[in-house]
Amino acid sequence: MIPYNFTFLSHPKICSGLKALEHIPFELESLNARKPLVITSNRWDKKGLSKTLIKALYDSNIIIGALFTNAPFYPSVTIINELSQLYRDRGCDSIIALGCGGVAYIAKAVNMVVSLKTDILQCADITITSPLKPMIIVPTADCQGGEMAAIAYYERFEKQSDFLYPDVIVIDSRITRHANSQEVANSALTALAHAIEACGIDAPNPINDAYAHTALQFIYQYLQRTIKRPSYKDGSVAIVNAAACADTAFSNAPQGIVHVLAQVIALDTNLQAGMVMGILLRYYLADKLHTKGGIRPELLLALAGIDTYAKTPEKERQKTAYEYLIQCIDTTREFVPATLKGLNIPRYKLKEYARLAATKNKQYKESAYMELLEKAWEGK
Amino acid sequence: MQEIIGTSNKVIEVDLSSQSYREIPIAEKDLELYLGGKGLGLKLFYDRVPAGIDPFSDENEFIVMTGVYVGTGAPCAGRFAAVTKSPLTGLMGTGSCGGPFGMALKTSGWDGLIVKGKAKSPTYLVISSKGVEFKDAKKFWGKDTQTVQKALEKEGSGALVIGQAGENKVLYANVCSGHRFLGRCGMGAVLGSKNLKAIVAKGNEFKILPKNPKKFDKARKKTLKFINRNQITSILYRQFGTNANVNLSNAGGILPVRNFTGGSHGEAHKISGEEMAERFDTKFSTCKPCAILCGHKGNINGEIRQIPEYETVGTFGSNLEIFDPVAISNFNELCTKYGLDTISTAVTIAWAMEATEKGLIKTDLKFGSPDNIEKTITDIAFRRGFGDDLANGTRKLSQKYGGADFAINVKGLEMAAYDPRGAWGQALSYAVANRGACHLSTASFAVEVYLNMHDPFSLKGKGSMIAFIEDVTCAINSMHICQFTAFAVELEPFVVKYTPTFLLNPMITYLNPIATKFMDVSLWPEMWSGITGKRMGMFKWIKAGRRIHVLERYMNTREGISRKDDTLPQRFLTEGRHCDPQQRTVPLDQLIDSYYKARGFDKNGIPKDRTLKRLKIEKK
Ligand code: SF4
Repeated sequence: MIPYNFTFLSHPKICSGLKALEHIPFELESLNARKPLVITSNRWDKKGLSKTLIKALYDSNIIIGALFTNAPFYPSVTIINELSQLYRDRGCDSIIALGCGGVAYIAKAVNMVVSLKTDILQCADITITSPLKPMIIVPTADCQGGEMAAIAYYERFEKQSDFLYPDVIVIDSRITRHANSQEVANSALTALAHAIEACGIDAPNPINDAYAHTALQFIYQYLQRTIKRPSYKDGSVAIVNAAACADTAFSNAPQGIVHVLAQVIALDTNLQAGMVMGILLRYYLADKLHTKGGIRPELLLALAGIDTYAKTPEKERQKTAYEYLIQCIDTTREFVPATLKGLNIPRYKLKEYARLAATKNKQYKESAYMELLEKAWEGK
Repeated sequence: MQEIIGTSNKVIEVDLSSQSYREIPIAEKDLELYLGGKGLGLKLFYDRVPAGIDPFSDENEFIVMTGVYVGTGAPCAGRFAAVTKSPLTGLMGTGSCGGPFGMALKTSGWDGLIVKGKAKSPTYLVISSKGVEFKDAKKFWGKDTQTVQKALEKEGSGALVIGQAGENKVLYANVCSGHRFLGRCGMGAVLGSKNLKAIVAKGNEFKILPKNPKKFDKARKKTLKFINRNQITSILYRQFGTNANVNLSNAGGILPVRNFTGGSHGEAHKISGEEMAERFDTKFSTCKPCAILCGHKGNINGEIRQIPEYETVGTFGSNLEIFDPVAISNFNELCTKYGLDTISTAVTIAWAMEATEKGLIKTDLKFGSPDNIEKTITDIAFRRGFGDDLANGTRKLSQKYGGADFAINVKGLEMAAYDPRGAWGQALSYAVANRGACHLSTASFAVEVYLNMHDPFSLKGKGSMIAFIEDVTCAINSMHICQFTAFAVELEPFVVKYTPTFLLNPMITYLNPIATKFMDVSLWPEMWSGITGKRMGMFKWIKAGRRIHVLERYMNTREGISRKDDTLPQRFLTEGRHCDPQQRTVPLDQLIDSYYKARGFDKNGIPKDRTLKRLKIEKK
């Protein structure tokens, strides 16, 4: 049954698979751009990814305005200002972010600065009303969540706007297969948490669900093999696609309790948010299973396919979906402990995290945050 | 007067909650394995306190250990160590202080003191050989360190006191003894959370005598001879104090300038030890006893004041672009009164200046201007206005307002006044040091930049060199003797002294760790052996140092520390400096790999089981 009303927006075009990089010139030209600023990190540059990207642009009319290979993990005002200046000095007209995490966050922030012609700190208070400069993301498989969503993180700010979606997401196995198992696990868990939280909301949104379900399907199918062998081409492409779909679903839903808590904890502990999400998700799902509404049975359809879904009695579907999801989380066991205690997070810190989360996102009460944290810490 | 031969092997445990105390024996085996001071303090903490506790909870303990040397007449040994869980870093916090409390505690018959629980109302303790008196400290609450110390003078020969910063739980509040401090890691806040304003030790009740006076005296005399022969200890530090480092750091490009954006400055000479010695007509004002005599006081604006140490001058001076020693002394005096760690206070203010410049926050603070700094220090101590946020240090500030790339701390502890981009060994040392960005973990900047014994920009041999110095430093801080004696004990023996630098440098760089095996540091264990009557060879002593360091690391890993935390602020990894034409940054990953290998840690920075077993550390 179609819901009474819902909204959905997914702006980016996804080019995925064989020779996806070679699509970039065409995509840039159709966005009316010719001179991109390419941003990447030292690590990816050393692995030769920037060379691979440049090679893909050889026989085209694209001129690289500047190649910045030293993007740090932290999107600071200093680096954003520096790169914005570089963009202007070189007369660039678009941005390509080669990598996830800091690279993508910095690229989005630079895009805001150069498009809105203002200072990065002013951006927090400005409502973006028109499209920004063309932007392409070429993600690696170390997604931290939000890179391909309608959100930008910089310094300690978080800005949401429909115009913050990248224009094109280029997912190519020559790029994605370089992450390690731990990074793949983190990416998958982030996508899993975002997808589940996006389709677990009270107001149903069938199109958003479709995106979330696609993410779940990819993760269930490919996670195990990709964690074992991160260079597995199809697997790494599938995980990044899952991240892209989950990010879109995440952009069209309110932020969930797992996401908010994981961000707060990651900020304080230097841990990867995906790892924390994986732990929290296990207890969030267990909780959800026993509450009214519970886990949506359709998740089983996404995870296990039509045959299993049809075979499972209606009453059992929630529980079976839960088991499938836990199975996904368990796949990352080698890299992600089962409890927050296992991450050596001291118990006395939980209160502070619950308080910070409640200030950040008022949708849940401090007690609700605390309850989930306690469970995840103790493993109950 | 009664006598203690060697050590008394007992510590006094005070429970503030129940106002009771008891004697706890120290096992002979533990003394041998952990030497005393910091080592034994850590071992006691490890055995008694579970991981994951809140530093401000009743469960946290504050342990003071005096070490073996104090009271025996060993040179520069008027020191004691303290161990607690730091509220600033959430990790093990350790400190060394040259104030009179250590001597007083030891000569009251106690090797150490353990404080646990929490007093119901402000309290101070008076410790003597007979036990502990719990006294009402309401009249002292809200008073500064100097006033309280003065008022307590009659109650004993040494005191530990906190100021208003400790009472208000400023995360980097220190503990004062005389004019020396347990400066780092926020130990003052821990005492404040326990409602403990001061601890006085009566002292002068026992005489401390070595078990083997002949052996001890021989080693002691030789150490003194080396101290009086070494250029740094007998001339540089004795004449100009630690501020002799200003010109050396400036020339070597490691003096922090403008929140660590630069490494040298044309006006640095104005705040150098040489300049201050002349301008303020300085006289000795040192830890007691001391043979190096690095501490000085001088006539500043008609007042006799303690001359600020190098770390204070570097962080409050060049790092804020203030080159007026009188202004720096004013800041130092205020921090002394309120009980604030000068390094953390100044680096936090530098963060605020840069964050203001970048528009992240609004304050009246500006680089190069001493205006508003005194007010800010007061606001921090009393947690007033924005001072409440500043009182939490740069890590928490940057989590709230942004600016993590220029929040100059490691694991939450603000960095001391040496820029790691000018000495990569120091960079590695800062990144992996147990208590955070601590310069005393190795003081490798001296080896690399001041003494030119190791190429500061070479990746070769850095891992094993840092591991070796950490071991020796841990052992020194457990004996317990001043770290500055290392200049004399390590550099004066024949092999090091008479090998020309052009040979020594490549030997240490390329033949490390073999080269370190030839370093003769036997004087320290010989003195220890002379006092305790136990056998202690040089290699056994270094191994004890390693055991202490690894135990501390292991305790920190139980609090969540791993490779992800062994890092430096982004500034040092990505931004070059004008003073370095090559714009070098720190290649940290490679340095850390070699260090973990030398240490016996796994790739994630966790001590391997076999490393713990080899060092006789029981895993918990
Ligand atoms: S050399 Fe300086 S720090 Fe060391 S004991 Fe003497 S006065 Fe104290």
